[in-house]
Order: sequence, then C-alpha cells, then structure tokens
Amino acid sequence: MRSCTLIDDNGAPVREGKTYALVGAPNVGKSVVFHRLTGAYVDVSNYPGTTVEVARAAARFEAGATVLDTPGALAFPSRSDDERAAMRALLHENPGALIQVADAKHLRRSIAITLALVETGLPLVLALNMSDEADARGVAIDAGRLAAALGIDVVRTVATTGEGMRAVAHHAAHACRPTVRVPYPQPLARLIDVIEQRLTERLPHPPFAHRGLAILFLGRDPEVEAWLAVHLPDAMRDLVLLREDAERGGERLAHVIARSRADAAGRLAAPSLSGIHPANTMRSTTLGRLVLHPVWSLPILAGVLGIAYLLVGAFGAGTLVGLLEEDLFGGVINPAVTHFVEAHAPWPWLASLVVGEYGLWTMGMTYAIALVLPIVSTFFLVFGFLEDSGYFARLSVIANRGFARIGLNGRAVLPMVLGLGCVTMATLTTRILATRRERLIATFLMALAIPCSAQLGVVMGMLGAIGLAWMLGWVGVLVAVIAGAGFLAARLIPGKRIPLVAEMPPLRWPVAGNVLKKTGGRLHWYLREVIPLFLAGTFAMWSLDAVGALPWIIQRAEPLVTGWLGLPKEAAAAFVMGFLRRDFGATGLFAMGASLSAAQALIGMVTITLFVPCIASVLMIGKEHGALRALLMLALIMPTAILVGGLVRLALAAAGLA
Amino acid sequence: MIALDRVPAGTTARLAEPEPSLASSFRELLAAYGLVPGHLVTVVAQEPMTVVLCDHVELAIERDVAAKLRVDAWSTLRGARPVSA
Repeated sequence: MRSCTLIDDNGAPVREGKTYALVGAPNVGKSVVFHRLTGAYVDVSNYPGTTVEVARAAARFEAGATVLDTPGALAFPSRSDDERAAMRALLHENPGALIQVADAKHLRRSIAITLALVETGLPLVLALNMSDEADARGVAIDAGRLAAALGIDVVRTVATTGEGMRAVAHHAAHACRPTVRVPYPQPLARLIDVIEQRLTERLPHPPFAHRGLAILFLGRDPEVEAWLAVHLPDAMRDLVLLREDAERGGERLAHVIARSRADAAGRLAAPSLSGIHPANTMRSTTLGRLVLHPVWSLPILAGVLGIAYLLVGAFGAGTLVGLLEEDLFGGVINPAVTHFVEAHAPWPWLASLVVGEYGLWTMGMTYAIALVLPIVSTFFLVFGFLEDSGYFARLSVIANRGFARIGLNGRAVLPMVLGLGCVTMATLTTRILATRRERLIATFLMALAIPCSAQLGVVMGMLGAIGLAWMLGWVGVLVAVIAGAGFLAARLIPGKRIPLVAEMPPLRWPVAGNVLKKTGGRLHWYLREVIPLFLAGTFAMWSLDAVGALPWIIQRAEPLVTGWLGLPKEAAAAFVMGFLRRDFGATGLFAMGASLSAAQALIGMVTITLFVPCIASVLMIGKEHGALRALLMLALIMPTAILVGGLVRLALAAAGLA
Repeated sequence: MIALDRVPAGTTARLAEPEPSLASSFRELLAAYGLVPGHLVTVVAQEPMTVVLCDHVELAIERDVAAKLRVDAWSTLRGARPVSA
C-alpha cells in the first residue's frame, strides 16, 4: 500500500476539510459508491446521465471531509454537459484527492480515463467497480500489477454489495500523486512542454498540475479555456496561436491526445489482464440480444408494457385505489373527519374549506393520498425495476429509428420514459442529449404529450376500466401528436440531428433493496411537490367557488367544453384544476366517473393529457431554456390540447362511437 | 477493407482508420469507448443498429456512423482463419 501525506501551500499536512471527488465514466456505479462513502442518496440508475449535477455530502470515513459525486465523464477534454460539469468540479472545487470509479469489465477504457486524471497531478485511487460482473465474464485483473504500473492504489470493488468500500476510503485518505506519464508523439510532446512552461511562469496557484491544464487546453476543453481566459487574459492569444499553428494542415490535437492515451491504456492494461474468454455465451448477454432482435424485441416490449399495465393500471389504479379511496377514505376516514369538523368548526365557511366539495381534506388530501399515492407508488416500483434491469438502454436502440423522424436519436427515449414518472424530473434529464436543439425538441414534446405517472395511472384506471381499446386509442392519439409535433419541430428548429452511439449495460436482475430505496426516494420527492400543490389547487378552487367565479368560468368555458369537446359542463372545473397540475385535472375527470360516456372519457383524458404542463415543469423549462421559450411552449400547448380533443370527438362521431 | 456496417453478425473484426469524413466529435467519442484502429471488436448485430462487443461492453452504433468505420481484417467466431480484405 502506498501512503502519502498531502501538504498544503505552506507545507502543512492537509487533514481537515479535504474534498474527495468521485470521477469516472457514465454507468460505472459512482452514485452507489457515493452512497456507500457518505450515506447520502442520489438518484441511482444504470443508464448514463442520472447524475446531471455535482452532488456533495459529508464523508463517513473522515471527519470534516466532503465527497463530490461528479457526472459521468467518458473522456477529457470535456465535450458533453456532463463532462463539462465534471471538469468544472476539478477546476473550482479544489479536490484534495480523486477517486476514479471504473468499470472492471472494460479495463482499457477505464485506464484511458485514469491517464487523463493522472495528468491533473491530483492524488488518485482507482476503484475497479463491478468486479463481480468482470468475474462472471472471465475477466481476471491483477490489481497489484496494475497498481505498480500506474503508481497508484487500485482496489477491487462491488459497490452494490459494499465490497471494497472500506479499502477505497482508506486508500483515498492516503492517496499519492501518480507518476505514470502518457508518451505523446512529437511534435505534440514538445508543444505540451512549451505550454506547460508558460503556464508555470504565469500561474503560481493553478487548480491542478500545469501539464494537465496544458494538455486540456490543447485538446480544446471548453471549461479549461474559459478558466484560462479569466486567469490569463493576456496570454490567451499567444496560446491559441501556438495551438492553431500545430493543427494547421494536420490532425486535430484532441485526436492525437485521445489516440495516444488509448494506446498507452492498452499497453498498461494488457499485462494485468488474464483468463478472458468470449462473453457471448452468458445468459444475460443472450437475453440482451433477444431484446434487440428485429422480431423478438416487439413481443418483449409488448410483454413489458402489459406487465406494467397490470401492475400500475389494474393493481395500483384499480385495486389499491379502490381499497384506499372507496373503502378507507370514502367509508371510514372522510365521514369521521367531516363529522368532527362540522361539529367543531365555528363558522360554516371553515367547515366548507376543510370538508366541503372543494375541501382541503375531502378533495386535496384525498386526491393526493387515496388516488395519487397508490398509482405513483406502483409506477415508480415498476420504473425502478426496469431501470435497474438495463432494459431502458436497449429501448433507446429499438426506438432510435422512430425518434430519427422527429429530429432526435434513441437517447431521447430515456427522458421521455422518465417523464412518465415526472416530467419536471425528466426535463432536467434532457441534459443527456447532445445538443441544445435536441433538448428543446424533447422538452417540448414532454411538456405537450407525456403524461406523468399520476396522470398515467388515473388514465389507466379510468379508460382501462372502460376497455383496453379505449386505452389503446388514448395511446394512439398521443403517439400521433408526438409524431406530428416532433416532425414539425424537427423542421422548424434549426440544427442537425446527432446519430446515436450508446453503451448497452448488461441485463441484470435488479437488487430488490436498491429498487425499493429508489422508489422511496422518488415518492418522497414527488409527494413533497404534490401535496402542497394539491392543497394550493384545492384552495384556489374553493376560493373561486366561494366568490362565485367558478360557476362563471364554467359558464364561459361551456361552449368550448360542451360544444367543441362534447363533455358535460362540469368537466370545465377539471380543466380549471388542470391549470395547476394535469394529474389534478385528470383526477377531477376520474372523480366524475360514471357521468362520462366512454367517448367523453377518451376525449377528456386526451385533452387533459395535452393540457398545460404543471407549474413545477414550467419553472424547470424556464430554468433550462429561458422564460421566453417556456411561455412560447405554453402558448402552443393549450390550443393544441383543445384542438386535438375536438378532433378526437369528430373522429369518434364519424366512426359512430360518440 | 470494408465498412463496419457491412460486417456480418458473429464476426470478429479489426478496426482500421475511419473514413476522413467521420466528424471529429465522433472520432473522439469512439476513441473514448475504446474503438481505435488496430482494436478487435465482435459484431453482435446489424439490426436495428450496428452493435459491437468491445472488451466485454456492448456498444450500439447508428448506421451513419458505422458506415464510416472501416475494418481491415475479420474472422467468424467459428474458427475460420482471419481474412485480409
């Protein structure tokens, strides 16, 4: 074991307040390692882009120390938003040591990242994670030999079981500055020396080694360029000229850097690897290929959707909602609360506010707890299982061709499917998409036509009870809207589509504890957002009703609601509720139950699904794309919802179904 | 020398220099994934996309990109001798 003592600028040992940064490729288990080292939980998934921002928490293994979880970085110089966020952490967070979390199955690629991190000169420890999966594939790694070759501590880990975590913490606390160097070809090597020399002369306190800054600058890392432009404004012009001279008529330096590291990684990895046998005989690999098969992928997809429908639509929205809403709340709790409040409330308006038609308890809390909670619980459970199984990454390949028609690639399936859980959460995840154009198109389509889990569950509960054909009709309309709006958006928003290159994580049977923990975390996030908004929405409805405005709005909206949409006039109240949250509005329609015909239920659910996105989503869209774009989306979405709802009514009438 | 998207599934192939028209961003991305000239990959599928096994990790590559990656030698997993193009 190597042991180093960090010395600060004054020569004193650094002990307290140290920052450890977890760095590594996407999908290697950084967030699980983060959880193990800190006890803090961040959303953990086995597809890239889960960690879209740097998370931080106190280290369990060292008093006063902090651990940062950086977004997945496939390589440096940084290119994607995730890589740029990771580079910003290295530049601005002053990490005392780096913990590289690497995929043991892909040693060569992992070492290429190690070599990039080595150049920062920061103390480093390498955690070879998912070693169990490497074992299963016959990949045997001699960690001691690798450690000797790299000059750093190398630890075998399985973060999901906790194996190796204590050793990682111990080695991180005593990590050394690595000494291994990538041999770059001439004239690049000479240029690196020149730039390094200039930076050394002008930057007495760099965030990390001058050599690392020089290489990243030559590779055109935008974060390093921005940092240098602030700290060395006078020298930037000369540095840029040197780089341009070197690239004139030849290859881009970033390519030479990437290739040199890849070659060096291959040479360093080879002696430490043994016992490799072909991996294509494994059961999970065979199943993974069936999931992508041109023929078998479709019945498998249908099976996955069918099981999701049974669990969320039939069990969650049917059985559980029946037990909670009808039996527990309708039969026991609400009569008791109503009796108590009416007996003790000093004023009739107070009783009406709490237990009336738009009562905080009888509507707000009942909707949130008895209707939404069982639906989102079952949805998040199913979603977490599929997410951890590795299925979603394959879904992006299956969906790629379809997404190509709307200017996106299959990667967009991930935020879209996550949007079925919560569109607000998913809007943030669109950062995994490569360009601003793709993010804008995906965000718009989600805001327009992707229902969140509560809404989805309500729709499944309502239309599923009427008949599968009505449910499929609703899905068909939404798919058509997404296809049509996406087709137009792809042609109206300038820019080019980026082809898909993506890693397929192995199909795994998810660990039950992880799925439950993840479901719990999401439910906590969701309910913290939903309950205050449901209560605020109920209060708004009660206030509008109390001052006589609600009947006025219903009367004004009547021509649109009863005429164009062909719904009962009471449905206008649900649309008013939909302004606050679409699922709140959908729940309002659900509560109308038997007073709607099958055709009216479909028209109502289509319209409310396409209706304005919830307030939290609008705020998130504003944060990600600016207030103007958020308002423009709202201005497009509302009329589209009403238009499509009416067109569905006309189509049903033409088919003799309305 | 043939394009990667023309290599049949079940074949191990050696990567050559990609076509010059392959965008710089993809060269860097593929190098980060370990797809560099001289490295061996096994083609797992060509539908719905080109899927290759690279050091025990499967990578899906859209046809537009796979068509610009070239291989200079390949052999089937069933023991046929490597064939130079």
